[in-house]
Amino acid sequence: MQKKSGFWETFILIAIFLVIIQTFIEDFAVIQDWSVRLRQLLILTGLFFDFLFTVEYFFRQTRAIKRKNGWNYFTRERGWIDFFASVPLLLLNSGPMAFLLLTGEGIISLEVAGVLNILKVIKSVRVTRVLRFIRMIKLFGKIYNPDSKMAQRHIARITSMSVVVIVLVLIGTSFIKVSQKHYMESIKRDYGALVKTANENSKTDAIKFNSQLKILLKTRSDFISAKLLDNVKISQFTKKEIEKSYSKDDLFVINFDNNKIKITISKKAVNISESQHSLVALIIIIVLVITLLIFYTKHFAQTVSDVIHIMRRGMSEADYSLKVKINEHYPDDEIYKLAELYNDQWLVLKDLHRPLGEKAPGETEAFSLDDFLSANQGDGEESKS
Amino acid sequence: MSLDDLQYQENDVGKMKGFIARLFLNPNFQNLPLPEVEGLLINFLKQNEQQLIATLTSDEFYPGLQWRDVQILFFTVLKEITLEKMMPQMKKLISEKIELSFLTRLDKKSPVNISSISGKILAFLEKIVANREVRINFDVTFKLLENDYIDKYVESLFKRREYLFNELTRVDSLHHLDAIALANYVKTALVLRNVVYMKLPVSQNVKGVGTVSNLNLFDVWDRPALKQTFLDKLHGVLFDEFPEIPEEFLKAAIDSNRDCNEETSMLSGCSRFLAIISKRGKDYKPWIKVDRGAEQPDKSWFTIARKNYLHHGLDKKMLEEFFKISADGNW
Repeated sequence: MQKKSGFWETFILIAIFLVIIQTFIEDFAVIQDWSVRLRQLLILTGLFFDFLFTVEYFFRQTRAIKRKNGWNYFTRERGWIDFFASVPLLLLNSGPMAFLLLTGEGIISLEVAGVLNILKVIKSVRVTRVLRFIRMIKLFGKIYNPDSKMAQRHIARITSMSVVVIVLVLIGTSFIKVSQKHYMESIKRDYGALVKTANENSKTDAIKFNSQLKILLKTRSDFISAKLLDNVKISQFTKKEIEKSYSKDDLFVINFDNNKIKITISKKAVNISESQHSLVALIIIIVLVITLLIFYTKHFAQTVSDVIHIMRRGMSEADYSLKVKINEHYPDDEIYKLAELYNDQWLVLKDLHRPLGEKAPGETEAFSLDDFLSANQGDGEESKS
Repeated sequence: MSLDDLQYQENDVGKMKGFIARLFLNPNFQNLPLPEVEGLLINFLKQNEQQLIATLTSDEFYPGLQWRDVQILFFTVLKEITLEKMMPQMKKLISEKIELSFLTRLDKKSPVNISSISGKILAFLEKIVANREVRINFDVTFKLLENDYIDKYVESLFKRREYLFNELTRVDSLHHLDAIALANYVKTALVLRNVVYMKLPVSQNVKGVGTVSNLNLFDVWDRPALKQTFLDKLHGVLFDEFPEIPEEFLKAAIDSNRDCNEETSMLSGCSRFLAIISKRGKDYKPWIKVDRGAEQPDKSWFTIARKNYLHHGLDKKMLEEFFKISADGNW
């Protein structure tokens, strides 16, 4: 049973590492304009991880509820981190994105962009995946202080607070920056001006209008293709080229003249800008979390939990008489004031109670009755052999 | 008492030998000196007597033997096995870690033959370690010699040339010894100092009646007159055993067991030095990893010892310097 749970824990830890890499690569792929197929694959892997963590969260939560520890797990044992780093992402980010990818037909219209805008805000929440690093405090703990639950709790608290604050700020400020919808509306206005100009110049002559608009559209770097009057189609790329380089999320369509004119436009520029923001936020959070886990854990262990660990051993173990090393930079810290009392009074009195060099009564190292009797039980086997 | 003197079934003796041999292999004892393991096992049997009586006298273990018989068999076999393992180790340790050539540089009454003295010391030790109390107290000797503990402190005191150096070289008139020779001097005294645990027949007056009892130094510790009688007798035994070795040296080894605050004027620098080192040796665990954030073991120990020097009968000024050396060396 323990072997199984050990395997599961290791699997989840590896998954945490992988999901952070996946989150990074997903945005990196947009910035680097990787092929549609690769980017779609990354969206599906994101869906897989979110699904995996959602299952894990429900498993843990259910187990905690069965043990009548559900609320405690959610509030005190970081269940809320497990929740926020899985369920909302599955329902509001990777799920809808994958759904759009697998079932959505055609290209996003301006009306859909409103919904997409909310999804993009939710995308900021993806960085909460980094919170799962907190689960790895135990790994860092092995380097610094294997037994300090206090250190683990404090580091988890400060790390989660920092990440949550950053995520909230990101979500809050995402309404300030130019949103997808605003961007698309501004593009629509620009293209509307082009259509208007072509209309004015052509004086209701469809052929002339198409020819004028074609010239104007080709001046735009984000123009992809268009269906003009009389069903005339023009495109900057072949169908194959579009399918290879533009996903549904990279394109949107604007209709003019009661759908007589349909213009498909690239919104890669705004997607890249958003991915750059996401990537910067992700990097900031990863660096912050790693810094806290490595450096602050070390600092906390060295200046708080290690000191307590030594004093606890000195007070509970008969033959443990090592002094606490007083940190010369923080001699006035309460913990070192206490350590001074331990060094100068407790250990000295303990020594008088158990004179140096003499074993305390009953002290027989870690040798137990079982050790003693099991050595005797070897006889039977030996005599048989 | 040897196994030949005891009337036990061969099967029980064999079983007990196997049992104790396996106890020695317990991982908890891997780093401990043999005498310490013996002491721990004896204490363990005594402390857990109530739980062990029923088990060890049951059909599964030693049927037909009374608890007392099991105890005697246990202690006898334990002693035999400890000695079997301990003597070769002790010989190896003494031959590898102690160089007796310093004896030729001491003031002596008669010429010194190093190999002969070495043999005599080993024979004498073999004789005295038959006594359990002597044997058990060799744990410190093993630990300190194995880890060159004395060598590093003597080397440091020679570099510092302060109180410890003055006490050992000038006051004890050992100025003609270099650091290596002085370290060997102290180590040899360390090997011989456990002689005080040896029981000697001492005459005493109990309720007006003169009797002779076998006592060691700690039996007479609180009785000054008897203590002096015991020590005089012990000096005599040792001087007779080693006529080639200067009396001051043998006296230093014995006196290292005395309280230096009661008898400071009488005790040599070497005695006081050895008293500290031996006390330290009891708590010395070189195999233990020091917790991060804790002071080094020697530094911690000497800090405490210099505060409780009166209680332990140790030389305060020496402890101060030991502390400084350990702090400098980060020991």
